[in-house]
Amino acid sequence: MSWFSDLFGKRTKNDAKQRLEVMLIHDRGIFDNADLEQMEKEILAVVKRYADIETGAAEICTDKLDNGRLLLSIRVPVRGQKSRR
Amino acid sequence: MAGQCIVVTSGKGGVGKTTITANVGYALASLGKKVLLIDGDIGLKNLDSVLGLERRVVYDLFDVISNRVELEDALVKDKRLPDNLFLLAASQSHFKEDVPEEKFSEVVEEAKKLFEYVFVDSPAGIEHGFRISSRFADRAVVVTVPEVPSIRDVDRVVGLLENYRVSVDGVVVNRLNQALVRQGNMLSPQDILDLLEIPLLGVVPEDTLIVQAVNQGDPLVYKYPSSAVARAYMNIAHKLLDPEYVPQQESRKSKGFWSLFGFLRGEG
Repeated sequence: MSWFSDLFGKRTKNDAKQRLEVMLIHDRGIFDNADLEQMEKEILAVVKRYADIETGAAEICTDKLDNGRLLLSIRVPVRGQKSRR
Repeated sequence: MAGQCIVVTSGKGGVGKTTITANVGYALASLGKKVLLIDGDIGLKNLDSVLGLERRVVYDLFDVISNRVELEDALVKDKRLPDNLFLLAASQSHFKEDVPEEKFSEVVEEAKKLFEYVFVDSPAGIEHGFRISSRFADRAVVVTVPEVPSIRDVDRVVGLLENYRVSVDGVVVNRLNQALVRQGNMLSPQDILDLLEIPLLGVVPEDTLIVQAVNQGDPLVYKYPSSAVARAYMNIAHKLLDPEYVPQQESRKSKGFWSLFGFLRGEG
C-alpha cells in the first residue's frame, strides 16, 4: 500500500506551501486587504482622469518574486482614450 | 560571568518548546557549559517534569521576584550534571500577569552573571508571558512542526522578536516524518526555509523515544544518547556554540573521506 500511495497518492505538500506563501505575505503586513482596496480605489481614480477604463474588471494583486521581494501589480482594462470636451 | 539569555519560543503551543529546551540545555551542559533553564510558563509548570525534577522543586520564580529567597537558593541542581545544569521552576499558584516585566528582567540579568547560558522556555501565545520571556533575551530559538498553522505562527513570532531586537539564531523543525516528506505529504526543512526568512538551526525527527523519555523523567540526550533524536539535539547545541558547525552525520562522512587521504599518505 505504501509504494502504491507513494506513486499515486495525493501530494499535499505543495498545497501547504502555496497557501503559506499567500498567508505569510498578508501576515507580514506589507499590505493588508483593506490597504489594497483603498489603494486600488485611489489609483483607479487617477487613471480614470486620463483613460476610459473598465473599473469593475480592474485587478490589484501581490506576488512573491524569486528573490523574495514582493511584486505589486495592477491590471486595468482600457476601453480607449478619455473623450475630451 | 557575562552569560547569554536564549529564549525558546514558537507562538503555537504543543510543538515541543519544552522538550527542546530541556534537551538542548542538557546537551550544552554535557559539553561543559554552565546552563540554567528557566520555566517561563508561569501558572503551568512543565520543564520540571520533563527533566524529572518535579519532586525536588522547593522555591520558584515567583519566590525570587517577590524577594522571599535569593536566586541561587531557588535553583534546583540536576543530579545528572550537578556542576553544570540548573532549573528555576515556574510557580503554579500565580498567573503570568503577576510577574512584572522589570522583575523578570532583573532575574535574567542576575542569572547571566552566574551562568554561561540562560534558557527561557517561553509559554505559547504572544501575550504577556511571551513578552517577558522574550524581551530580555539576547538570542532566540524558534520551534515549529512541519505544519501550516505552526509555520505561520513562527513567522509572526520572528517579526515580534525583531521588534524586541532579539537576534534569531534560527528555526528548529521538530517532529519531521521523513516517510511523509518522501511521499510528498509533509513540508521538508528546505520548504520551510524557503518560506521563512531565518536560518535552519536543526531538524528533529519524529520518534516515540521522545515520549518514552518524557514518561521516564529523563532528557532523551541522557537516556538514549546514541539515538538519531539525541544526535539531532546535540547538533543544535553545537550549532548554538558555533553557527558554522557542520552537523555530525556530514562530519562523519567527511572524516571517512579525509581518513582515506590519511591512509594514502601512510597515516593511521
